[in-house]
Amino acid sequence: MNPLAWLLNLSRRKSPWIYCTSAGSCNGCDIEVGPCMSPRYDAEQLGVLRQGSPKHADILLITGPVTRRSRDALLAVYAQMPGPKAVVALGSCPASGNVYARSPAVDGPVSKYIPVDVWVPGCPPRPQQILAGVAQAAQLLARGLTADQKREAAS
Amino acid sequence: MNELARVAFALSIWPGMLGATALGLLYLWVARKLTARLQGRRGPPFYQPLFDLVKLLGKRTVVPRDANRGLFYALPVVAVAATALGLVVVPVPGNPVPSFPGDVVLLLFLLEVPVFCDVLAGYVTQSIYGQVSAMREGVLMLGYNVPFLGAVVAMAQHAGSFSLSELHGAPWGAVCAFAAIAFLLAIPARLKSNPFSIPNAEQEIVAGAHIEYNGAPLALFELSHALEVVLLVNLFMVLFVPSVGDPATDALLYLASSIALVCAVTAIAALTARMTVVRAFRFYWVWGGIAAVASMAAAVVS
Amino acid sequence: MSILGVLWRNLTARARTRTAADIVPTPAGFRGMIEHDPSLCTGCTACMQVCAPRAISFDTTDATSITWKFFAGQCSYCGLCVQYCPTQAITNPGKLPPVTGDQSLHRVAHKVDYRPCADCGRPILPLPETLLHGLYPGAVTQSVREQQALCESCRRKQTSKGIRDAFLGAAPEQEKATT
Repeated sequence: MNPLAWLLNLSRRKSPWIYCTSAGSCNGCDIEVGPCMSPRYDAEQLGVLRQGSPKHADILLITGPVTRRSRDALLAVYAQMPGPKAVVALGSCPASGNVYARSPAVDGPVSKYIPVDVWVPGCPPRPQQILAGVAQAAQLLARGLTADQKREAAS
Repeated sequence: MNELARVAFALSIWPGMLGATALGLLYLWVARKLTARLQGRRGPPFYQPLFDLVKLLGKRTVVPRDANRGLFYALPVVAVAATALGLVVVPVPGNPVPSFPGDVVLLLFLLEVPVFCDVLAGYVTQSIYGQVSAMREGVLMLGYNVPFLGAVVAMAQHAGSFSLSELHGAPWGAVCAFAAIAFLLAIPARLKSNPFSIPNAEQEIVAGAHIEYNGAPLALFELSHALEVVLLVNLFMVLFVPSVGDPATDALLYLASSIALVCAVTAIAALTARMTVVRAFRFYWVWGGIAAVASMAAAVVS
Repeated sequence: MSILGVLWRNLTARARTRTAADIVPTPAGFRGMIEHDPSLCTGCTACMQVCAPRAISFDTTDATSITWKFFAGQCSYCGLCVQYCPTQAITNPGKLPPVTGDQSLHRVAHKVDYRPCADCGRPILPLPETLLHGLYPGAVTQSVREQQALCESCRRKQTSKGIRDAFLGAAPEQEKATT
């Protein structure tokens, strides 16, 4: 591997910028993402920055069971993220819908619409678990193993 | 040929792209680390801004559908080029390019180009947040230029010339103190840091003019910001920190004063909340105006 | 001006950030990923009925066994299944469920094999040992074990036969053959 590619892969692991979006969540998981940037857990020491625009982010954090109303917004956000990108699903809702699964307003799980790279289970997951999920996604980005990168390599 | 080689060296190695990029990334890290420490956090490791830059260069670029593609890609390049040329002009220790009369005017012009690129970027991206940010940045620029230009013109009047090397060698006087205060008043707004971080107010307009920028163009905008920090710090050193003659001590003094200035700006940013653009404009015309008038009066009197 | 004091204190003190070794462990009673012991499971489906997100299910397609299935990606970590399981087959040791890209690590399936009734051969679920000891606190005698090896119909017949024999005396061999 040439040194430029090595440097690029290293920088993808060292600089994971996140964007958090809610697909109709109860906000429990969203609230747990907040402490990750606080002094107690300080995600910035891993290089994590929480961005306000999906265009600036590498890792998408999804909460919520994908309600019908939020589905198009979720797909638009995912499309606007420039590759290579990773997706982390927080909590039980994106994985299965949790208690909302059989509601007529819910159209999940999230893997029906976008490929998920890391699942962080919990209801809600602890901030340490969320950070572990982000770190895992950063590792996948560095090794080229995210679903988006594999699709790009195959095409 | 010799002249061309010197300009090429100054543009690419020192004090241009390579050296200034390294210093700029260092200053960005110092700012982030100090902010983290002041907030009781640990903060990023020292190589963080470099990896941020490289990672952005490696991303694909998504251009908004209605944006002008040529302008979208050209604006960050122009911003970086203008800042790099400005770095060539400032006579920091080790700059092979000699100073020439009128280079102050050239430098002031080059300093405005990145700001114009930011303002245009806000409109090019067709985003309402970008347009709000561009408008705010334009208004802010009309404000902070009052003390900024006042300080530089007062120092030029005091030195009797518009050549930066003569400004560097000018003797100490009361005008230097007033001009330094006016210059320092303008610095946080030029660097878009609190309490004047109005153009990129994260909680209000998401990311300001750069909201639709991504990938390599965003990397170039971040690079131009880093280079702008170095350029302003260099200018401060040239205007207000006298040379002691010994090149090694000069270099040390340069580095120390640069880091001190970056730390001071960061501490003020951690201390304060954001002002509204109207308040900031008023602040700059009242207090900045007073400082500018005081320095020009001191320059005329002495 | 107290902000200046705050900044000075932050700057001069150590960072409040927890290192990986410094992370507070999960508190006592933390509801993490549940664990299921198939040797204690009676297939009563109380856990399935009490689970709101339907993370627990029983697979009865196989005739010779029943499978307890759990998906941690559907669980809301409420702990009701732990509370309602009559044999305490489901426990909560407070372990965090794994963060992974492989969702199969969140799925658990435990098979509990049926045993044929000693008399009629119908498949039955054996009673767990702990429950046996709980029901018969003195000692689990051989007759108890023989009784538990029967399905409920055969056990009912055996019990009623025992009561009749006790009142009317032991029946002759041919009568027993016709019942």
